[in-house]
Amino acid sequence: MGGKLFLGEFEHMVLAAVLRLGDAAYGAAIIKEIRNGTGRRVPSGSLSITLDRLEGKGYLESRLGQPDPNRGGRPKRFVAVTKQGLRAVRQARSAMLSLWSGLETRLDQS
Amino acid sequence: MIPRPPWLAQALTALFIPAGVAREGVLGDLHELYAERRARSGRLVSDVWYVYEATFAVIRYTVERFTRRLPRRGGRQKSGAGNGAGPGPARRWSGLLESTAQDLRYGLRLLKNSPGFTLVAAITLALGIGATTTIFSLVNSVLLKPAPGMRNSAELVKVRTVTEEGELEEDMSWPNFLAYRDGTGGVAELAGVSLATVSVSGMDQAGVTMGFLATHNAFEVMGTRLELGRSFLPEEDLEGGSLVAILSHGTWKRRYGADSSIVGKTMRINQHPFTVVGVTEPGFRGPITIIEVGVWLGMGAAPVLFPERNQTDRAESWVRPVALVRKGVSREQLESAYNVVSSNLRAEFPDDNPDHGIVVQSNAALSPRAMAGALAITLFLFLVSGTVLLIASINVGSMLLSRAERRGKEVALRLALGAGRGRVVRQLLTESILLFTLGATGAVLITAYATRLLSAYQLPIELPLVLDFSVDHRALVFSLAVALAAGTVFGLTPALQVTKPDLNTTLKADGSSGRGPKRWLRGAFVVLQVSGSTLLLVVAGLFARGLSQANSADLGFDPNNVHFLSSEVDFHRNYTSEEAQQLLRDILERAAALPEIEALALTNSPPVTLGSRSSAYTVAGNEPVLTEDWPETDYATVSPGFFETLRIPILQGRGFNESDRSGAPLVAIVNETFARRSWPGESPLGKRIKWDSSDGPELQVVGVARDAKYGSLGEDQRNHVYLAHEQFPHADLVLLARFVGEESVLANHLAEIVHDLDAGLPIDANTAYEDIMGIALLPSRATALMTSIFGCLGLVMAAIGLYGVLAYNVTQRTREFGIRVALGAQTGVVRAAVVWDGIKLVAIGLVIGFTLAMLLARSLRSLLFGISPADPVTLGGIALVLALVAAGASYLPALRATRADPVAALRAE
Repeated sequence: MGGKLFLGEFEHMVLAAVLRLGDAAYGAAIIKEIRNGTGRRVPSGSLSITLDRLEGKGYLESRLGQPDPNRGGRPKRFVAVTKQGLRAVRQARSAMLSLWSGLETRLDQS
Repeated sequence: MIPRPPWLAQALTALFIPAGVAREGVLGDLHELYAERRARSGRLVSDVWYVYEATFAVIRYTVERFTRRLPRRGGRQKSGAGNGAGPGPARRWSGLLESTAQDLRYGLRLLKNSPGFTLVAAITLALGIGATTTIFSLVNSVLLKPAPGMRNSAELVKVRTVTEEGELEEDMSWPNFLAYRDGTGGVAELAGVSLATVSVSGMDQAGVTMGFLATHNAFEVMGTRLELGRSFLPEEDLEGGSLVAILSHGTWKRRYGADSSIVGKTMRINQHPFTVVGVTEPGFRGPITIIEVGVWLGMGAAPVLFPERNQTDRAESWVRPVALVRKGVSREQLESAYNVVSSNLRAEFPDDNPDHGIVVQSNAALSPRAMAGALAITLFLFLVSGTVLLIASINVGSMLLSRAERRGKEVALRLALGAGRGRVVRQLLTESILLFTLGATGAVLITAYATRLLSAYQLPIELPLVLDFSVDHRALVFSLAVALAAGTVFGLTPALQVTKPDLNTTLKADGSSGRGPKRWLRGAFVVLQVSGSTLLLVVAGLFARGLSQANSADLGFDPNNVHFLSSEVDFHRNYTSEEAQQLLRDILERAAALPEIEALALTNSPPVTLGSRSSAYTVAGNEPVLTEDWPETDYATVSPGFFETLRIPILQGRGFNESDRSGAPLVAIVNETFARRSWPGESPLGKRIKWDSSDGPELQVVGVARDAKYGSLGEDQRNHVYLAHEQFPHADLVLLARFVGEESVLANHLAEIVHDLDAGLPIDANTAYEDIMGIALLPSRATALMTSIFGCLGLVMAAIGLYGVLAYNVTQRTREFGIRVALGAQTGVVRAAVVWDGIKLVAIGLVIGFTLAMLLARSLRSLLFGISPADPVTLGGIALVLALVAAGASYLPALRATRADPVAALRAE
């Protein structure tokens, strides 16, 4: 599962999607965001478990919105990245970028 | 309107995901995404998607819970593992959970990694489990589901009277009912009901409604509540009390628009004004749950509506008692209390008391005799659908076996490295149970759709059926239990097989010797499948042949272009006999003038519709001494046009004519069989028949009609007597009309005529005669349809299974064939050997299947319309089909085996 500050691939995607969506980040929106960005189909159950885990690690906070008739009267689970989460994303991103830097030409060639 | 996702999947998901943000989030998201999907694609696709997502979420969360990653209550996730507790039972449990979770994850991954395999297996299982679950849902709704709104159904008992002959009767007379109600010192509360078909008019046009007359305590005894108003009062039980009605919830909503001020208003029932005093709670249908009851009437109305249901005659039985047993009173105590009353009644009224004892029975939805019939049908349907399930399970079982063998090395390695056999078996078992559970999920979906189709069924007559076959928790538990049982059996067998081998050979060679127990198991699988599908096909084939026989059978009359109109005049209106006859004559006369009519007739018992009439008779010169020993014959009263309308030829003598009216000599027309049996070798014309009893009338035979079918298409030839309608008048209106031109036009004209003569007279049926005959054919048609569907399913699955097994055997023996071909064996010989292998298995299966089918078909004889269970056409055809399937399924792999380059085959090792 990686060390304290590193993120799994899927966790990475989820956090990025949450950041991109800002205030409108909730389950179904995140699923669509990931699908539009990566083409990956995310089952609702998987996303929910990952959200639970990220929340357990302190990277996310969630709150329930208003009951919504379009959702069978259930509220949305809005999530937001915490400071700690932001730090983790930043660290993961810079680690990735530093590993990738200088490889652009090779990747473009093949 | 926002579409609602399948509630079942929703409920399950809610059950398995911990309450709080996660559950709200997942369910809400799924709902939202489902709605979007519904807008894009169809319902089926969306439902399947939802079930998949829901199942996935349930499994993920279950795994998560087992592995304790999930905070269960508060922050418990950190405690437990590190607190140094010894390996106590809790620890062992958590170890078991942990390893089960591991197995589940591993199994899920395997299923996900071979989606083709998973999909085929899941669909196969869904069909198999779906077949049994659908049947279960039908049985459930008829036998198991409690009647809605009957809260006391557990404490209710049937009280049946014993006749002088020792037979059980369901109804008792009103005076006797009162005696039983008041004579037991309160060990039970006795209520009475009586089914009443009535015509309701008031707010809109007349309509026939099934209703119940009920005593004031009936609602309390059944334990139902009222939506509006009050229950009946004690004084309304009695003749002369005010006429009161309680509307059913459905009637209230449909006919009166859920008018909340309905209580106190007046409605007309059979032309009598009734005051509405209440409305029943929604769903409540009373003791007969498959019929929509429209209205409940106070018992005091019985003599007003139905003259024979009077409250004074002790010999006239029409009240059906139902008792609520007081707490602590046993059924035996109640029975003896009632029997005391019964013997007192016998002593007090020796002449006119029909009750000779009381039997208390459980309040099952069906009477014992109907129950026995229902159980037989249930058993048959379960047998048939269970066979489909067996075939499906075997297919998946052999797929699992192949997979397990392919993983033989992995398994052997794990065993060699010290994994317990049990542990490995558990791993394999987990996979198969996962797969079967997936199948069960699909099965529930299939069942939900199938039962929705079945529930919508309505008869082509005015009898409002309520068939609630919907999937409930029992059906869910059933399908899950079936899946678990089948998954265990068919997962355990391969799992035990592959974990058995001695490690050396498996590790050394490739575990594909193709001999030994595994091959034997496959052989057994094939034999089982072939016998199963033979069984299904034979039964389906017999039914199909029987039906086609029935359709082409000589009915003895011609139902084509005959229209059927019926109304039970005496039920709906208080006509005197003379008035009713005049009405029938008027209808007949006016209808005869219609341009569409070629011929028309009245009868009280149209042939090959449910129900028939019979009477005792005797012929002169052959009279039994006792009236009880008189033979019985079916009969029908018909008007003169009858034989022309149904095109039944009169073979000797004459048909009825206008001169056969009351006052004229009584005449009868008999059928050939009656004539042959009663007066062998003599002319029946002019012979006399004593009718009904020794005091009864004497009839003179004036004609002989050709034999026909009367009760059902499958019957043996029966005696039948036709009486002249005018000489034996009855008030049931059944009008048969042979017509030319457009039937719907005729139907409208006839309805106009009836309503013109009496606007309040409701029409029960106004449709093609063949539709009405279809009702009588329903049991056979339904069985034929079901067995055909199951038979085709079974055949396709068995063919695929057979091909799979044989093809697999051949690939396993590629090396052997290579060697044989290299050593100079003729390819033809090798091929023949492979095909022979297949044929052998199929032959054994056929023999077993035929034997089972014979045994089964023998008990279904009455539904087969004279087709012998050993019908050579059916059996031969099926043997041929299966032989072709077997030959094809084994020849293709044989071809492939011998085409392979022997050198390559050997080298591949």
